[in-house]
Order: sequence, then structure tokens, then C-alpha cells
Amino acid sequence: MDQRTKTESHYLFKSCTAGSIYPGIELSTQYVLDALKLNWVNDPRQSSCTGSGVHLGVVPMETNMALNARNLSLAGETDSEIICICPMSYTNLKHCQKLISKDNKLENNYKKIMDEIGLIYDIKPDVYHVSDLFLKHEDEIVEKTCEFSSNIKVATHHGCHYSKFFFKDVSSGTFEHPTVLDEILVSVGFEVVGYDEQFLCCGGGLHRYMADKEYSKNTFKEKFISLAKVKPDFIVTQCPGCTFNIDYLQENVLEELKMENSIPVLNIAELLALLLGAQPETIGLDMHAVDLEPLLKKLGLRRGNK
Amino acid sequence: MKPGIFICCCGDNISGKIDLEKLKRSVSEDVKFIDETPYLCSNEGMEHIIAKIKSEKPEGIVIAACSPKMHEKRFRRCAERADLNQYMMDVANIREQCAWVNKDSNPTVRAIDIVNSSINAVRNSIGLKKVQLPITKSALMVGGGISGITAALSLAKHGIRVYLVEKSASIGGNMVKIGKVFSADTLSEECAMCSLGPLISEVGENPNIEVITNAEVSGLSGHMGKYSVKIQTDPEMINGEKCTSCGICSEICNIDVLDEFNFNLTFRNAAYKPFPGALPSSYSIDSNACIKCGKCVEACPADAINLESVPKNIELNVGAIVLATGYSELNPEQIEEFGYKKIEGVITQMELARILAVNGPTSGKLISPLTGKKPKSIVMIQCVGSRDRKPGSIPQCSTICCMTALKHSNYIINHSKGTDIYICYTDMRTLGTYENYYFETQKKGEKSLRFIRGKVAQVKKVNNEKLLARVEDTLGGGVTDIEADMIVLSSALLPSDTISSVQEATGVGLTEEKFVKEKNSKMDPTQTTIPGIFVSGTAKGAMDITESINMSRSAASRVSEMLTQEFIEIEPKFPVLNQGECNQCLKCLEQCPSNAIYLDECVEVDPVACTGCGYCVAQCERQALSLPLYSDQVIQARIDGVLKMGNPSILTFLDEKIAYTAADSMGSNRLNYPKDVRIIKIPSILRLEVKHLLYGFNKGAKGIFLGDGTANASDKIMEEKLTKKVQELIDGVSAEGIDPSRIYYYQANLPHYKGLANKLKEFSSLLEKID
Amino acid sequence: MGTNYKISEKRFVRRITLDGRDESLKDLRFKKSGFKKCIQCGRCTGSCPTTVIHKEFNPRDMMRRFMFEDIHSDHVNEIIWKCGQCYSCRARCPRNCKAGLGVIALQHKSYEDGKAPKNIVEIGEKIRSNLYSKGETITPESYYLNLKEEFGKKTAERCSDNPTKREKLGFKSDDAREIPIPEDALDEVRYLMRLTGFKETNDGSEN
Ligand code: SF4
Ligand code: SF4
Ligand code: SF4
Ligand code: SF4
Repeated sequence: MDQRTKTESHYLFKSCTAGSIYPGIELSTQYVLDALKLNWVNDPRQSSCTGSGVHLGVVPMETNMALNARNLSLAGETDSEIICICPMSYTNLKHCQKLISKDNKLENNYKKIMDEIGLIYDIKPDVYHVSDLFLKHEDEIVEKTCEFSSNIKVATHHGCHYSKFFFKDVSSGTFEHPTVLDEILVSVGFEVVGYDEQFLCCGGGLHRYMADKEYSKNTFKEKFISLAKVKPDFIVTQCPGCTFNIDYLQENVLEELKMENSIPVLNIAELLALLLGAQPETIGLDMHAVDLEPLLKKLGLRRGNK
Repeated sequence: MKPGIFICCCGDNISGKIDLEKLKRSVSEDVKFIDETPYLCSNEGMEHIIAKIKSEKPEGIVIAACSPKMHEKRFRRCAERADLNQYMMDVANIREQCAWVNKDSNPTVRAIDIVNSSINAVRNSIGLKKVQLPITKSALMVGGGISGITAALSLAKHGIRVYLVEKSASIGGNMVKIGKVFSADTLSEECAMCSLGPLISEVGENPNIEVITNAEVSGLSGHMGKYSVKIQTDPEMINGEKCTSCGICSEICNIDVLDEFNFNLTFRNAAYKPFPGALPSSYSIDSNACIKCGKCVEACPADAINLESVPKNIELNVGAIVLATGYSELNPEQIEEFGYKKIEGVITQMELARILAVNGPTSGKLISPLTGKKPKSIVMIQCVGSRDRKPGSIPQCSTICCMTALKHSNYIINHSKGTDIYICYTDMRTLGTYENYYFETQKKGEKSLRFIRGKVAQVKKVNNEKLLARVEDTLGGGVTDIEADMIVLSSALLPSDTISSVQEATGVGLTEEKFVKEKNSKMDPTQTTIPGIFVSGTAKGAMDITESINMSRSAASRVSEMLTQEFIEIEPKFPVLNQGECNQCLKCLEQCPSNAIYLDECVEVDPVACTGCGYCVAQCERQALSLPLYSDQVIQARIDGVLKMGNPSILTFLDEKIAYTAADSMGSNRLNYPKDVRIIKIPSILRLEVKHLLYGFNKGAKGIFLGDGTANASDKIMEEKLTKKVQELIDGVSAEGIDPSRIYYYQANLPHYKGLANKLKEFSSLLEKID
Repeated sequence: MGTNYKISEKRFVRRITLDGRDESLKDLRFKKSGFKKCIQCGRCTGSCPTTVIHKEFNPRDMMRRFMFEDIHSDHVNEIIWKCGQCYSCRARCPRNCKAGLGVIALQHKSYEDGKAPKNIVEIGEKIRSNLYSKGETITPESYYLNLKEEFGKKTAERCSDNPTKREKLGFKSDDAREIPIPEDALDEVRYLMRLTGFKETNDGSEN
């Protein structure tokens, strides 16, 4: 455990997809948290939320609940609220929390099970997505942001697992049109452009791609056509899985649609880390499928200028 | 004093279970006489009671029979008729709460305790009188739509003076805006103004009605029969008496304001008359928009304009109030998937009504705002914001929009050849004879009207020229994108904004959606949560014009029933204040959950508003307040009576409305519950004090169960007070060294009898563990 | 079929018999899909990205099948795998149902019964063994696909070096975590997995 004090503390819930494909998203998140001088916990004992398995039907609900009761209790032990890198973890943790705490029988069962592994059962911690936290600290982010070129147009995509399952808990906008990312982007100085298929799924993450390529490719194609129409300079995502899909599926879709220009993709954590002074290599921006160099040039970040 | 006892056999409902001889023997020394009758509630039974009282002249009586919920009122009348004060009588519930309890091996034991409790209560009662309050014979109508107009006319014809207060510049409400109304009899659309106009003039001509426009209710005091209402009006810049309605002011004014009469589709001037035929017919100046340039002042030939006038406060004295504040259409902007206000060409049914109206923005020509031309294809989306549990929507059906869609379709089929219509619906709700209208519309629409069963998921715009509604044709057509150049949202009916200020001023209870709540919508419609205040029309919930008219007449009849009495009679269930002891600390006033205590020259209790909960009694440190029906003496006497035989009992205090009813239902459903339970009816747990509980424990009670259902009120106040009270009782009792787990509290939100039985059992077994 | 339906061979009539219904799926997610509240309005279908790709699958139809326990046929077993788990159906449902949640309950049943499609079984085994051996579902290995074949030439060129790059960033080549889960914590995870029906063993294979 890194830190434990009485001030508000955040339990960073890491993502398998980010860690596997974009370790930079995790590093960026850490970078932003540090830059904002927030108290956070990096607990290696955390397990996967099992979402990738659950949403393919290969992990039983009982395992989902047991492992997440454990994850929640680990956060409970550190007296922190949970901030998830991946919207799928966000939904899975919240869902298990809700199912268990609303049902006495389940609650007693998981109390007993946590006892068996020597953990104090406490599944109460609040669960957020990291972007909720970024939005909350919007003002500090604006204050610390390096200068960059104006007139840059951004389109956003919010993860379905962030806005659609727990539709009441979207921290800005509505489930139909969440504006968590939009709000952050506008206040740091981008122009956010809307597009028709805001609501549409991006096609899912790596696990979805492997399970049903047809779904991933077709859905992404529809989304991309709508995105390309408004010609954004880049796309900002909230979810490592969406980042993967929008990033990796572009080459084929461009070819199919006989289109020239790819649109770079950044996860909100990566973008904010950049704006707060991180060097692109240290947050793994060179691991993206769509080349980010042109965008970085266009951004023209002047580090330390503010 | 020794009361006389009447025991009812109730066929053998009671005598078959309870050993009446034993019962009589064990209570015999405390009573003047004991009488046994097969059916006390029969007419013969009642006459028998009267004769017996007259001959034996007891000072009080106990009626051991079924629940007081059944015949208490009738028994009280018997007592009065026999010249015995009706409050010198108590009903011992030995049927529901004794004979009918399942698997009770010895109900006689319980019956004896119950009767003893009643005997003791009567011995400690004092004769009380009902109070009579004078009545102000006039009524206030809030809202001047079809509902307010109907009710006002009806009351005026009964000779009651009516003040009709309307927020906007004219009465008429939504009905003047909708253009056409459907008729299920003639299967046609009729002109709304043609039906409403005559009523509006009738209001203007009736000397018993005073119309006050541009006005809102700002305060209320008093009680049923005698209210004093504060009304605030907008500044009256044009003097209605002088104005000749020539309209010159409006011609000269060049301030543009969105015209609410046309649902903001057009503009009007700051000096305006809402519509031809408005009442009052004089012009008004919109004080929010006027820049006081003074042009109209100069122009007015009648010298009627004074821009410096200020808001007026009026005070009205009325005996009753009817809330007819009406509805407004839900703004579907927040249901973003339909693109309202973002995508040109998406409008609501109300806006379509204006477009189709001859006096509307397009003079009745059907024109799509998207293309500026006659639409080729219209999609109507039903249940927008209704029947939906998402934030911003309401769960109810708005009841009129299916018919509205049909009405508009019918009209368009008749008047706009070449326009196709698709109605996408979840269910078509055309009840009763309205089904004929549906059928007729289908027939007429053979060429151009189609129904698709499915709730539209989203609306998109394609290349600035057409709209696309995506819907699943659930009856087999699959996912369908319908091209259209006009989309009409059948948006939900919400209560109008006015209701919030009315609620603030009157404290009337509202539903979650802010419709006015009826206290008992099944058996006592139009009665709100406050006595003397009624509701009618769409202020209560979605309904069509006919239903509004019905309801308004019903509310008017309730009001005239009340106002044509000589006086209002109130049961003496409210607290009495000994003014000599009161030092005006106002604790009772602050704490009363019903705001029934007020300060005039001295502290007063409003007998109408008081629910008789008894909370104030314990609040008064100088013991100036007492609740005669449930005085300390009576409560202690009941405890004494119940425990007299020395049975180890669970004293069970239940509130008379909810929990006591639940207990009756446990009996009528023949449930079983612990044999030690002894029920004592009180107005609310709020009446209890630590001393009452201690008294019970000292006299040998093994546990005390508190059941209260009054917490389930519209606001959270009762719940908070109850929680506080229970904590206070528990703390007080444990401070005296009694194990607090001997007290059990059950918040009985509904008369849920199985729940109550389970809680009683649970408590009983908890007590067993302690002992 | 396992339900109280009979379909006559000769006449196209579904008969609902007096035999009473089968007990429905035990999986909590099935019930929590909310099919009992569904009014078959089709808003979910109109919002579902799958329906426009796979015309046999639509969430409203799934909900109808849930209501009538028409969930055991080969056809159902085939279409359930089309759902993309985006929960658009849930977001717009006027009754707050979750068709997608019921679908995974069916998927899981199918997987347990060995009826899942081959590729799902393959991914499933991988994910489950990752979970058992590392406490993760997706690992860097899951991503080592034939990049060129899957995503195209340029992507392959840019990303084939990613395993080295991740190590430079301080991440292990075979673990999603910067700091792998400690052995004792992993034992807890495994204990919970076995307790909830997993039969995997310590070396990651199923026994
Ligand atoms: S009246 Fe018809 S359109 Fe309106 S809410 Fe009811 S069912 Fe829906
Ligand atoms: S008895 Fe209750 S309602 Fe009546 S005045 Fe006292 S506190 Fe208020
Ligand atoms: S949207 Fe909801 S209510 Fe409508 S069909 Fe789908 S699951 Fe049923
Ligand atoms: S979760 Fe499945 S059924 Fe629901 S909208 Fe997404 S793909 Fe369709």
C-alpha cells in the first residue's frame, strides 16, 4: 500500500485490458493523480473484476460476486473510494455491490466467505470511474494544463458500460448523451464536436472482438462513418476497450470505405497526462495503432509554460 | 362509577369461542349490569341498548363486541339517544382481536383482560362534546381552465360566492389553445372555442363569480369552513374598468414576447390580449416584458394606462377551496433521443394543435417547420415521457394522447390530402366508446394512416432534408426506419408550474409527480390531504375534458354540501389547552406535525387541522395541554385493566388508523399471534410518554410493542418525529434500568397484517430469550 | 424442450398446456433481466446495435422468450451469442429492464452445458485459466494475435514491437499488472473461484 492517511483516498482499480494493450493508460492515470496531488492506493492484491469473462458468458455470476466482494472489501479496508480505469470494472463492481447489499441471504453468504479468506467484509466503498474524478478536479486540471494550439476539434465516446447500465449515475449529461469527457475537454480549451451516433456502441473491446468480429467491425464502421463526417482532429475515449477498438479497427475500415485520413484516439487519462506535462514515450503513446505524431505536432504543447 | 356492560354473541362468532359465563363472573364486581344479546348491531340490538340505558341509567357503558372500526359510531349514537354522553362509552374488541385469533387455546383469558381495560377506561373518562364551527359561505377556485370554470359556475348556481383566481391574463386554460376537440358521439372534431366561449361569457355575467386574473395564491391561514387566503396580483397597468379593448396600445407596442397562447411558436407584444374572446376582455401589459417606454400611455384614448402601478395583495375569506390548476405538456427536450428543439421538424402534439388551429400561427395550414411545406409524411410517437420509468418521465399513462393523436390524424386526413401518417404506439388506449372514434379514424385513414406497434427508439436527421424515426415493428416487421418530414411527440401531461406555489402557500400534499394527492382516491375522490381543500381536473392527474367536467362538478358538490350546512361539527379528539398554565414558549407550536397550533393573542389549537396525534401533550413542560380522549388517566387505566388479572402480557400500543386496522385484519384472516399480546388503541405512538411505558413495566408487562403506520404520510415529517419519539421512549425507559430490548418498534407503513403478525411473533420470541 | 409447450407436427399451433411451467433458470441474472416487467414495446430492439447486423436476434424477442421460458431450443442457443453486451437495450427501456443481462445468463448456461460455439469455448478457457493463474481475464498474451491478418499492414508495423515497449515501461511481458498479484492474494482468488464452481487446477488447466 502506498499511502494511508485520513484525507480522502482513492483505490485505483486497474484494468486487464489497459494493462495488456495500453500500459500507458495506467501510467497516465497514475501521472494525473500525482499531478493533482491526490491520495491514492495501488494495491497489487486486487483481482480482475472478471467483466471480460462475465460478458462472454464464461464466468458464473457467483464468481463475479465473490471476487468483487473481495475487491470491494480490499478497498473498504483502505478506507478509500474506488476509481476504475475501465468502465466494465465500474459496472461490474457496482452491480455486484448492489445485488449483494440488497439481499440479506447473499450478504450473509459473502460475509461468511470473506471471513474464510481472512478479510473483513465491507462492500460499501463508493465506485467511480476515473473520469468522474477528473471532472471533479476540472478546475485544478485547467490551472495546471500546458499551453497548446487553439482550434483543435475533438469528438468524444463514452463507454457503454459507463453510461448505460447505471444510467442514473452519469456524472455529467445523461445516459443518452453523457458529457463527462466533453465538459473536461471544453474547459481545458478544446472544441468538442457532436456527431449523430453518439449513443452507439463502438464495437466493444478486445474480448468482444475475439468473440464476434462481425459485431465489432460492423458496429465500429457505423460509428466511424458518423465520426468522420464531423472531421475531428482526434477522438477521446473513456475506456481502454473502446480505445483498442477505435484504434485498431481503423486501418481496415478506412480501406473498406476508401477513406484516406485516420483519426487518432486518446484515452482521457493519456490526454490529461500529456496536458499536465508527461512525455509521450513515458506514457506509451508510441504503442497506439493510429500514429499520434501528427496530432502531437498539431497540439504543439509548450511544456512548463503555465 | 360502575359502567354497564353489553356483550354481543355475534351469532356464535364470539360466544362459540369465549366462555361468556366465565367472562361475566370475572368482571362482575366492577359493573352495574351485564347484558348478553345475540346481535347488538341489529336494529333490535340497538333499541335494546337504548332501552336498557334508559332503565338502568348507568354513567357509562362498555360494549364487548366486534372491532370499533365496525359499529362504534352507531353505538355512540345509541348512547346519545338514551341521554348518555357518547364519549362515556368504550368498545371492547373481543371478536377480531380475541375470538378470531387462530389457535388461541384460551381466548377467554384475553377477553377478560380486554373487557377490564375498557371498563377502566370508561370509569376514567369524562363526558365530552363535539365542537361546532361557523362557516364562511364562499369558495375560492384556483385556476380558470375548463375545470375551474365548470366548478365555479356550478357553485355560483348554488348561490355560493366564488372567487376565480387565474394566473394568466384570461381564463380559458389549455382548452382555448387546443383548437379542436373530438366527439366520440358524432365521430368528428369540433371547435373547442365554440363549446368553451359561451361558458367563459357565462362566468363573466354571473354576479356570484368574481374573476381575478394575473394572480396567484400567496398565503393561507385558518381552517375548513373559515379560510383566509392571500392573493397577489401582477401590477395592473391597464385599468380594466376604463379599457375599451380598442387595441391601440398593442398596435403601438413594439416589444416582442413569445406567445404562450401559440405555444411559443409566434410572438405577441408586451401590451396584449391573449386571444379574441378572452375574459376579462380588457388588454393587459406583461410587466416582465414592458420597458416602460410610455408610448401606449400617450396613445390610449381612454386614458386607462398607468405604468407605475404595483403588485396588489388581496385577502379573501372563504369556507372552501378547489384546486383546478390544470396541466402543462411535458417538455421533451430532456428525452434527448427524440431530438426535440435540436432537430427542426420535431414538434409536440400541443404545437401541432396550434398549427392546425385557424387562429394559430399558420392560420390553420399544415406546414412542416423543417421544409416550410405541407409534410409528406408525419410520424407520431406515442408515450413520450409517459409510461416510462426513466428520469424526466412519469410512470403513468397520460390517458389522452392516444385520442389526441387520433384526433389530429383524423383532421389531417380530412384536410390535408397527400400527407401520410404513421402512429407508433405501445398500446392504443381508447376506452369505452372512444374505440368507435379509433375505428372511424382507421376507416378514414385507409390510404394514408398506418399504425406501427412499437415505441420509437430514436429520431435522426438525414442530410438536412428528412427525419428518420427508428422503431421496431414488434408485430413482425422488424427494425424499421421511417422517413418523415415532420415528427410529432405525444408528450406527457404534467401538473402546471402553478402548483408549486399553491403547494407552498397551502401545504397541500402532492404526489411524486407533483399532481395533487387525494387523501383516499377510491372512496373519497376530490378531497385533498387538507380538510376543506378539494381538487378537480388535470391538477389531480391526466384526464380528458369530459372527465375534468365530471370531476369539477363532483368537487363543487362537495363544497356546496359543506358550505350549505349551518356549521361544521368536529369530534373532540384534539388537545385542550389550559391557558392559565401556558407561558407561550411555543414548543407545541413548533413541534406539531400538522401545524395545527397557532398563536393569536394566546396559543390556540385548530380543531380541524389537528389530527389528534397527541405529540404536543408531552412537549409542554407546564402540562398545559391534555388530550381528553387519551388522557394520562385513561391510558394508565387501560394498562391497569389489561394487567389486572396478572397475566404476563405484551402491551401492544397501535395507532388507530393503520396498525390497529392491521391487527383487526390478523383476526379476520384468522392468523395466529402470541397469546400474550394485549392491544391498546391510541391515536399515534407520538402520544406516548416514558411515564406510560414505565407504568406498564411496573405493573408487570413483560414487553411493550409499539406499532405505528402514520409515518407513511406524504412528507417525511411524521417519520422523523416517530423515530425521535421511539428513541426518546427507549432512552427514557433504559435510564430507569429496564432492558431496552423489552421495547419493540414496528413502522407499519401499510395495514399489512401478515407483517404485523410476524413482528409480534418475533418480539415474543426475543422476549423469551431474555427471560 | 423442457417446458410446457407442445408444437404439433401437423398444425402450426403452439399449445400452452396444463402441466405447469418448468422452473426457470436459477442464474440470478436471468431474473434480474426484469422480463416480468417487460411490455414488449420494442424500444430495446430499436436501440440494439446487434439487431441491425444479425436479424435473428433482437432483445424484445429475447424478453418474450424469457417470459415463456422458450429458452432451450437450438435456435436460442445460437442467437444468444450475437449480443454485444452494450446495454443500449437497458438504457432506453421504459421499464428499466436489462435484456442483455438475461442473455448472459443463457450464454453461461450454454457454456456450462458444453453447447457454446467453438471460439467462445476457446476464449473462455483462456480467460478462465488466466483468472486462475494470474487473477486477470485478459493478459498481454491474449493480444498477441496475428496483427497483420487481423488489423492490417500498417497496424502490424506500428505495433509488432509493443511487447518490448511495454517492458521498457516497466510492465512484465506476460502479465497485465505492473506489480503481479502476490501469491497469497492469488490463493484467496483461487479459493473463491473453486468455491463458486471452478474446477481449474494450479497449473492453469482444467482437471
Ligand atoms: S394515452 Fe396512449 S400515448 Fe398517451 S401515455 Fe397512454 S398509451 Fe401512451
Ligand atoms: S394532537 Fe398532534 S396534530 Fe393535534 S395539535 Fe397536538 S401535535 Fe398537533
Ligand atoms: S424496451 Fe424494455 S419493456 Fe420494451 S420490449 Fe425492450 S425490455 Fe421490454
Ligand atoms: S446488450 Fe445485447 S441485446 Fe442489449 S442492446 Fe446491446 S447488443 Fe443488443
